[in-house]
Amino acid sequence: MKVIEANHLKKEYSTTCNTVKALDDVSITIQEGEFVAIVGSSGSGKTTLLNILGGLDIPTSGEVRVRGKEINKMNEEELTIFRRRNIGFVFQNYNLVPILNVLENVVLPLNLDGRPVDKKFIDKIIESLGLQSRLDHMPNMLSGGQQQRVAIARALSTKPAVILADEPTGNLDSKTGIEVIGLLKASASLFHQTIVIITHNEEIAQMADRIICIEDGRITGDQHEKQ
Amino acid sequence: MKNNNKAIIKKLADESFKFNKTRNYILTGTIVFTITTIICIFSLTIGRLEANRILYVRNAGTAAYTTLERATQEQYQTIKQLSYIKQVGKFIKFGSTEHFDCIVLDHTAWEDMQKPAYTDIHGDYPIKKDEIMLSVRSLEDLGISHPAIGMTVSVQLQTLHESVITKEFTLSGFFTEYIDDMVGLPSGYFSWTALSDFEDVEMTLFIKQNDTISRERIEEMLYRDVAMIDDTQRFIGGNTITQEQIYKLVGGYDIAVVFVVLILVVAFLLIYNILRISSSKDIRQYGLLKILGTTKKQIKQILVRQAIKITVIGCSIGAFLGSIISILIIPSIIAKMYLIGYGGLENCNIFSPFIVVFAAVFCLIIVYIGVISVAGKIAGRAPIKAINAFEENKQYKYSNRRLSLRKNRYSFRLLNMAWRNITKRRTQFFIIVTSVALGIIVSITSVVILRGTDMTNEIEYKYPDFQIMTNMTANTVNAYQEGSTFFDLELKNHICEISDIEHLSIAVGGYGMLGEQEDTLDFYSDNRGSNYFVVQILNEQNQEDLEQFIKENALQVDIDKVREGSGIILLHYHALSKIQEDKATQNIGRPITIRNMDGRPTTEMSFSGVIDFTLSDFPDLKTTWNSSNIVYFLVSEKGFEKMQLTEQIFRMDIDVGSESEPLIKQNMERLIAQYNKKYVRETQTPFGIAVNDLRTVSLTSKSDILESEKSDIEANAVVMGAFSCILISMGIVNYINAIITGLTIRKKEFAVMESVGLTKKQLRQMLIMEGCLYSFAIFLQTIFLGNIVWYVLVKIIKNRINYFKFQYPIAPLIISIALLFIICIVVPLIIERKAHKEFLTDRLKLYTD
Repeated sequence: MKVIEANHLKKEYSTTCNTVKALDDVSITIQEGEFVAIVGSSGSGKTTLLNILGGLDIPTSGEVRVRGKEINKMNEEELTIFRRRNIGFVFQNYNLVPILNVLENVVLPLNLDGRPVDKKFIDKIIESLGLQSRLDHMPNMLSGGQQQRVAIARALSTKPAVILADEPTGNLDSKTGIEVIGLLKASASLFHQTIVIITHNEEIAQMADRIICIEDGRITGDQHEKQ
Repeated sequence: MKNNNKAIIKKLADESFKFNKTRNYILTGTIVFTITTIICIFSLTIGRLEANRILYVRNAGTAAYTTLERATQEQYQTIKQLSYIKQVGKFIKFGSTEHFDCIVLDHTAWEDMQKPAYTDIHGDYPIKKDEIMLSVRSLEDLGISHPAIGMTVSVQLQTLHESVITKEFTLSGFFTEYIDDMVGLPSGYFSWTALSDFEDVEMTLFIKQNDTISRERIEEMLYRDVAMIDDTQRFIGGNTITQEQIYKLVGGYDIAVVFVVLILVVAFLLIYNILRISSSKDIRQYGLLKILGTTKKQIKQILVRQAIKITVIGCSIGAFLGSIISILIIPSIIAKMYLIGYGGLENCNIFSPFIVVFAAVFCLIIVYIGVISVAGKIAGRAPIKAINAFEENKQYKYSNRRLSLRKNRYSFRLLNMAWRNITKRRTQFFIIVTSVALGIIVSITSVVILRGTDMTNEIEYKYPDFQIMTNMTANTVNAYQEGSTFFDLELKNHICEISDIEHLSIAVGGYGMLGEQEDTLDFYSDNRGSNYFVVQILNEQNQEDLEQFIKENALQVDIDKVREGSGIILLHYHALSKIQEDKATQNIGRPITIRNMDGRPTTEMSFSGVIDFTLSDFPDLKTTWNSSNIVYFLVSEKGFEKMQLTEQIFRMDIDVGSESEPLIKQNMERLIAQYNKKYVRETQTPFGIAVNDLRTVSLTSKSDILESEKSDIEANAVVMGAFSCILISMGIVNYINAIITGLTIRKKEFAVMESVGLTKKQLRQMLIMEGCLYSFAIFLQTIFLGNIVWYVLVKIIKNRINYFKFQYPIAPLIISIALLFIICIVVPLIIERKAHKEFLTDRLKLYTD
């Protein structure tokens, strides 16, 4: 079943002198439960693609459907709430809310949605990510790896259909990075979620079910895991 | 899709509030400062207006503005119902004693018109028939130095029909009044029931019109709406005290409103700017919250909740501080400076809860507007841009820096970098520069206005350095024979011989007589104090000024006949009713027989119309003694020759060089004393004082007048200084706040630059350059906008207040700009020094944790 479907995406940035094509006619389909890695050199357009897929950015043309809903036709309020319920984000620099502790950060999207917290489910995520002893800690008291695990827990907390991760291991050492991706993959498979990840790390890309290569705003390769 | 979760919004707002302690302190401090400043500025202004009002009311002995003589009950009812009349009180005179007039007042006249003019009021207004209320001065004149309520006072009074009644009254109350002894008797008050014993009474209506109606306008309106009982009944209009004071203080209501708006704009910019700058630090956090699903509405709620908390704390502290200053400090300053000898600020309240409420509501509104606009900006920003806000800046700075340090002319590059830094956030730059410039402009404008309307200028404008004037009047000249002169030519020549006289003007004319029956002036017959008149010669300049005045006021006066030498103008001291003025106009062109002091007819002059001497902007003709019962004519030199009257010198106005003024003053005083000696009769009076003959002359010197007003002038200067300091501090505080907040946010930026090799010295140089550029931009804007504001304002005020004197505020400008440069350079350096106490690595981690 298709979870994400993007057709003929174009994204252009205009400056006074010229127009830069960040995405040039990109079409992509991602199935439920897939773990997809997007790879490419710096400035190839991978982050732009991820942001557009997650509704954080608007394409110049083309359409994006997430779980069958065309997100670029939604108004801002609808999009925010749709994102909150269907998409989880993990960033390279963790982006935890510094004024909330670990547990509060994890359940924040649920609270914002006004949904009751499924305590068992949250406990399960926390346990699987090894954060039990850090629940009362503030973000600045955690190491980079721990902070990224909190960010993953937060992304998983609303049981989103899709998790989009932009270089989640970029600020971590390679060992911790592999560990974090392992946890992300395990959690996603446990909760039947789709993962789209941007990475520069070959080792991490190899952990994915599918690798999409992007260069100069175009998809140059789409490689599925050998059956 | 409905999304409502108060708990997490509260949590986020509370935690964010706790997390942003510096911002909270700055914002709370700003609100406290703004509210306190607004309360102080308004209290100080109200205090000054109130002190002037009290002086005016206590000097005049009444708070009424306009009066109607010999009024009837019907007229009272009519006036009471007029929409533009605030209050009407009845003032009924039924007799007088040697020491006071016998008056009965209605409730309004006592409570709202008379009571405010008195202090130390003991007891109550008389109710019973035999009760009386007197001033302390009247009681002392009656020999009672320790009055007590309930004591018996024996009064011998003369009714209006001149019958004498002696009666005993019980003292129901007493008070202190401040009317000048020379002006008239104080009032003694009786009850309404006491009136039943007196058949002949005279009712005067005391009227208070709406504050915005001028003296001329109220007379016009009342004459239009109220029927007069006869030709001579008249309204005597007055400007409302508030209007008079506002005019004297700033030049009019409209300018006062512009001033208030400017002050509020500066206050708004102050708070708005802090909100804007401090929230920029949170953009990233709100961008992240947006990614996680926080809606625009929720972000607004989070910000508004925090703002409410800060505003409530700030408003409470500010209102408390402002109130304390307004209640305890300002009244005592005002009373000490303006009201010594006038009973202080008794019964008057400078502190108005309305101002406190206004200031608090104003702050609440601007904080709300500020938060909503900032929230809109934050929430409207694409989330991905918001969370990357600081990374963008970092890259931008990086490239700049590298560029700059590669070059040899690195000072210029640093300057370039400083310029880019301050203009990068253009809105912030514009708001800071505008708000500081506006603060300085408002403050300097207040100096310009207060200095321009200062009493010194009024005195300088109105009085020459020396004025020598005859003491003779048209009503006292009858004791002297035709041919007498009252200001010797010899004295005039002596004065003219004094060296270093820069300007000399001599007013000349003569005295004459009118026949018992002078039909052309029949409209004026009831006003005339005697048959004698005074006539003043209009020189060429006087004629031109008068012609201009007649044209501007569309008066019915035949000035051409006056120029030809056949016409004569009657100048009256606001003595004619509307009907009388109309009749005078009908008589224009009719003849008036002129007689000399012996009563011999000399010629006939053509009546050319009447002019009210008290009209505003009446040209300075340097007239001699005039009053409402004096017949005062104006003619040309040709006309005067035709009248064949003895020429008299009325007055001499002399201006001299400022350096020789003290010496000339001494000479002049000696000269006048010698001259007057000839006319001093050593008469033994009960007080042993010699009585002067009216042929003496009086010398008034400007320096004496200035000396007598010295304390008032100094008091004004102190209040003006305080006022300007408060205003200028608003702009400066805005700058300091903005810089402190801005630099706190830029800590990481500096750390990044340091990490790639910018030395402390270079950083400091860059900050100094930024400060200088800010100061220079503020200076340019102040000069540009300030000159426009001053030009327009001075033009408007000069038209309204003829003594207004514009002095270019060079000293206040230099002081403000120097202060500005110092602050603009010192504050960033202090912040930078403080920032360096933290480790570079810690600073680098800022905002990414």
